[in-house]
Amino acid sequence: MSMGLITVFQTLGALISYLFVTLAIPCFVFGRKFTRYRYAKRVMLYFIIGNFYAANYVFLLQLIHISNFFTIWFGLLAIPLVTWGILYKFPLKAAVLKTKDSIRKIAAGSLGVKHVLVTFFEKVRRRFSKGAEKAFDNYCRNWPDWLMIAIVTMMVLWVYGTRAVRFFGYAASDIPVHLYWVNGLSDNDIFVAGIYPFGMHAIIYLLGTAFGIDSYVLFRVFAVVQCLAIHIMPVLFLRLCCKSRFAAYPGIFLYTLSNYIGTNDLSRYMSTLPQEYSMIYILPTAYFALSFFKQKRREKLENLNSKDSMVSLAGLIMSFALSFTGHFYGAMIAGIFCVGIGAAHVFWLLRPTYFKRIVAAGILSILIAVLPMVIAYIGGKPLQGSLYWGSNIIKGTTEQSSSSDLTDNSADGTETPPGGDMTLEEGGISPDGNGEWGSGDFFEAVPEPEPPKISLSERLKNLGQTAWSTIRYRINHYVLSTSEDWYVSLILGLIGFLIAAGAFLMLFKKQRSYGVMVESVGLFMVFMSVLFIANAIGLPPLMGADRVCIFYAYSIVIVIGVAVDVVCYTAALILRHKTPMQLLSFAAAGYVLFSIFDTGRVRKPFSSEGLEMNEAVMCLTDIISSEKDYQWTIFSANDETNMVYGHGYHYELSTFLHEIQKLRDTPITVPTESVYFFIEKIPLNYTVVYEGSGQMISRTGADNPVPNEEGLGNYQGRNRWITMSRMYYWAQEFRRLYPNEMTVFFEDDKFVCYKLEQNTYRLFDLAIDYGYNA
Amino acid sequence: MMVSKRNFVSICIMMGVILLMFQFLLVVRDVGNDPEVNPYLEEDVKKTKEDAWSQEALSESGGIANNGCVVYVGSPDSPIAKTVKQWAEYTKLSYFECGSLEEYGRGDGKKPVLLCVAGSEISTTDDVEILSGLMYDAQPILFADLPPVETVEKFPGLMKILGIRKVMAREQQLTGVKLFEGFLLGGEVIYVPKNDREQQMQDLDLDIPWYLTIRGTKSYMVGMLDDPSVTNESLPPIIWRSSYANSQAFAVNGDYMYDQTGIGILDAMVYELSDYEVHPVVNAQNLSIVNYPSLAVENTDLLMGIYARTLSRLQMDLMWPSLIACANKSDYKMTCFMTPQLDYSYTDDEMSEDLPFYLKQFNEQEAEAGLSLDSLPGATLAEKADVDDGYFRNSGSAHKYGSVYIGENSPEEFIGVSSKGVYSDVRTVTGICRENDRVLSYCSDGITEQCITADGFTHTFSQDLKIRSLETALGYSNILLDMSKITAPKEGSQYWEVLFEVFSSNINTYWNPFLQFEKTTLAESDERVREFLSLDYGVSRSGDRIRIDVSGNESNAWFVLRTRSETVRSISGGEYQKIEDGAYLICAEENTVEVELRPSGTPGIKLP
Repeated sequence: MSMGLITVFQTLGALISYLFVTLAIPCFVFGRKFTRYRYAKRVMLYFIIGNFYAANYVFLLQLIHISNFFTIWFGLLAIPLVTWGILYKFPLKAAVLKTKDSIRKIAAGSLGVKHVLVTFFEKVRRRFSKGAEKAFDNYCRNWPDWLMIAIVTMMVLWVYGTRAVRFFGYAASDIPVHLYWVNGLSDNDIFVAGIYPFGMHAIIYLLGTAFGIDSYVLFRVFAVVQCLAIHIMPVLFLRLCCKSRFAAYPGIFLYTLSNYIGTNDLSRYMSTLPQEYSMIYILPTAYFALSFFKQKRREKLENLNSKDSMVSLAGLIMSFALSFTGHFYGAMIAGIFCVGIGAAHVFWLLRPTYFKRIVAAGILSILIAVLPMVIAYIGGKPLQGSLYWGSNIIKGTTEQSSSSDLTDNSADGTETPPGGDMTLEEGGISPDGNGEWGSGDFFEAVPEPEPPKISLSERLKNLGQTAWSTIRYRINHYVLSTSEDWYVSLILGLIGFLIAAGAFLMLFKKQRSYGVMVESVGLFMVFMSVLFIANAIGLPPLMGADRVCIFYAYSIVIVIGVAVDVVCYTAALILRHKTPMQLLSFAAAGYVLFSIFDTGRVRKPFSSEGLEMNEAVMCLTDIISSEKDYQWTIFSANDETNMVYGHGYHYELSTFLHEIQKLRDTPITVPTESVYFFIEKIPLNYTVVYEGSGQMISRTGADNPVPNEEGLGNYQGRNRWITMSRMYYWAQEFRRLYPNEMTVFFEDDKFVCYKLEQNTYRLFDLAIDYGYNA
Repeated sequence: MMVSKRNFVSICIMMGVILLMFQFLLVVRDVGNDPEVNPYLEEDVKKTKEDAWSQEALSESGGIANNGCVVYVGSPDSPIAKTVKQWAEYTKLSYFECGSLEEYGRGDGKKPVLLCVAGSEISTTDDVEILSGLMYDAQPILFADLPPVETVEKFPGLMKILGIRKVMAREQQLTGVKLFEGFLLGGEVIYVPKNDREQQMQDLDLDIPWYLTIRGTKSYMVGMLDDPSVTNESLPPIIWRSSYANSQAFAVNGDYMYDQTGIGILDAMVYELSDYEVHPVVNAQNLSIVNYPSLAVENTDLLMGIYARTLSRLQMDLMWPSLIACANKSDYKMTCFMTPQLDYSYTDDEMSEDLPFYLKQFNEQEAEAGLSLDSLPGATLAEKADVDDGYFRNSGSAHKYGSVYIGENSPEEFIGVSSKGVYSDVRTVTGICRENDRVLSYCSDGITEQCITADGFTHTFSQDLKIRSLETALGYSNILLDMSKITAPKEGSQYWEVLFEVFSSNINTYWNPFLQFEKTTLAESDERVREFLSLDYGVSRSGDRIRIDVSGNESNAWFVLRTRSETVRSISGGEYQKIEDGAYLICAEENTVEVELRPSGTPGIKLP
């Protein structure tokens, strides 16, 4: 079986298990309670409840150190079952009596086992066929929606999924660290490297433990699942907020399939990263906030009970808590959206009925999100490095650079965007064309001259000009991948249009709810724009521009969707008929799809190679599946360190080379039956390129001293070449001594994996004189 | 209620039919069981000594074997020389001898598969230099024994070749010996006595020099020490391999190459030199029950006192059912070597009339009847042969006996009587192997000799090592059960119930790793030995396919294939069975066998 096919199965496994936890179980428990809601809202609710429950259940188990396969499954089956029983008042006593009676009858011979089984299975069959009929009915009624969702799914799989089956290595250097944290959860050691938002880690851990999928595999394939969820959320959001049926699709088609959006805004989707995981919950947070206002207003007007608004409020609490436990940046964007919504609903918000609930929801969601972290903190766990950095940013004691949003040092467990730094510094382009960037985040190190004293109006004018030019520049260079300026104008125009249209629609009582939704989106984009240019206009930069652009690009989907909907809905209002609205939105979706192909702006699938060679992942997969657990060790660079968890052992090449530098009487032995050595013949560029990148390992490389740097330094740039060269010649010498014991397990032009077989009662001394010892 | 006549008749008929049906099977079996016929004895002998593979015959006829040669350097009378020569014959390697390394150095430059050096004969710097030069020429060397410690210390060059870092002790008392897995067949074994019984089994040489080996050596057998501070890697090596210059040197620190134990060790070393190894084996596991049954009524008083039975009843009522049960459990086929009498000092012993019974029983139990010429007190082999011949002729039995047990007598003695009466059909003899005797050979043109390899009643550590070695090299064993001590017990430990327990547990324990080898009677084994001795073969490898060309045989030939990190995927021209990890028994049914290998444990992930 090819590794690509294995990856397909692994991805399917991850998707099915994730959907089981986040959709199937909540659907089973709350299905009948939520029947009155629209299909999209139900899906969103199930998804949020599923994730919220799963993540917090893992936190609970972890904090009391009883997390394992059995307790996880207890939470996945028993608790939902009990909840279901309580919710629907399941007659437990009667059921027990009935079962007891049946057992008695079976024992007495008056009831046949066969009869009981047939009756049971018939019941199950009928229920399933009923469900299937319903699903089929739903499909028949909503087939255009299903078709569109299928198209979006295929686009996502095409653009992001194909990379997963071509390149098996992780696309981000910090994934090994996240993997280490998840492995910590397997040892019931939450926050193993310090306190950090663990939402994604909890979900990965739960899926791995419950379904037996290795965490390293989930980190490889869950990115595709996560990416699907990120792309489906705008569809659900717009489907729920918009009037027209197909308004969601023009934006999502453009975002997914076209190459108008910059590659750096999307490249992180290739990796399973917390920030992207938290992105899933931005739009549900916004939707439930909007829904709360809408429902509450309706309940007041129609004097209904506050059941629906409370459901929305609960959804808001869970969504925001999830975005918070996923990543602070996701929570920040969700918060900004909520601020936009609050601003648009200011007249409602100021009323105590709304205000109390919204404030309580906000506090509660943050409390829920931080509670596990607080408990761990009280228990003595320190903050993870990046949180200190985050708190310093808020305090203003640390400057932010474009490349260090969450820093790239995997030793302290922080992140680097796989696309690397944005091109501003490299290209030397600036808004005014003369290399100046005001007090921006990129040239903070350069001391600036005292600004001349100018009047307030002048300052405001200057500020406005800087803001305008900066936002135009950043949208053009960060968000879009086109140099045509009118696209920027279009986006800014659409934002302006939404604000104007929203305000206009709010004037009409009947359209007020819709208008305020439009206004919310418009204002959200205004606040996003402010965040995007915060440093340029003298505000504290809460997030680097290269991170904001990712969310900004994602928000454009909503802007386009709502703008299309406003146009279509307006047409429907004018024509007093809904059909033209649907036709127009369908035509807009169709036109966008057609024009993407027509203009040749179809995005090529992502194909960046991983930070680990395909060959290495293939060998690792092979070793895990063919060797007995804990009877093998891999000697390799850093990536496999945490990938072998639960199966075998790892020895870092750098450590080993240092240990054999001086031959001492003490032998260096590895007490496993098999020892594998992963050596790159053409060392890959591990995030660092140097003048000799792409060269073969050689004796010249081995002649250099063993690199002795901190963290990943020994495996980056030239040092990787030296390390691999030395290791290769060590392996050659060892093969000379043990020609039959040390065999080639796999070899191609770029990579070689040696396998050493030994008797564990007669271990080979690996510390040999290979000609390059000190 | 009365039974009607009709029903009564029906019931009677049914009972009659059932009775007939059951009896029919027994009758058919009895009719088909002719005690006069030996089913294991072929009419014609397919192979004789003339057909046997020999170096001379090979050079004359130009056989297919091009398996290279082995050179022994040392005294030609040394037991090592005999071991190496025997092994060369079995593995179809040409054998050459040289008196000294200097002489070998002057030779024609023939590069042997293995250069076996009597290490104890190395005494000069020149010797060491020659050895060093040979290793630079990529010549694998076996030091079949080691020079005295003083000599080793005297020549640092020799220490380097042998991979010795330093001498830890000139003589070290070991607590036992450990043989690592993957060298000889049968897996890992630790010869350290844990109780009194095992203490009696300890007969290995436990006083050896303790050398500390350098990095890059691999030990196959080490001595065990009581000192827990000594790490596994520092234990005194007994058999090891070192890498020096462009080649490898094997060293044996002890007398393990002085007898037949060395044959398997040599095979294992050749295997250690490459990534796979193929050598022919006999594939025969025999169980020789000697002096059973004894057909005279002897020792009656003694036996009546112990067992309350005469010898005849003891053998028939107690011993025979036990033997059948044990043979069935272990799947062995018995070869029972009968004797008319145990003690020939008495001439007036009453003879029992059990011969037809036993001949029938043997046929039923897939056992073979042989003749015992083990000369017990009161008769030489020739005298016993004379008397026994008379008895068998007078018994009126026309049974043909294919195998004879000669005890500690030499086969030549039997050859002298082999043309007489019941001995004229004998094809193979078996007996106690004297030191340096060949395990399998021709003792005359038409008669083979198959040595006893183990005593079923006693099992020692050296015997166990020898069994593993012979199974590795030949896939052959011949277990001896001498019943004479039971029929004339001198002490309680020789009573049947005691010895049977010992024998039963031994046979079901120590041969278990070799279950894949076939169980045979001596006559069946004889056929295989003849094929084995006349076999000629060649082995080549291309990619993951190993080709074995076989000639000189008329029926199936067997080989042992040993691999590393590879398993057999498929085979053509024969069949295979797994003996253990990395070891397969190949049955060549055609003249060319192709074995396809695949890396072991690989689920077959391919790059896209």
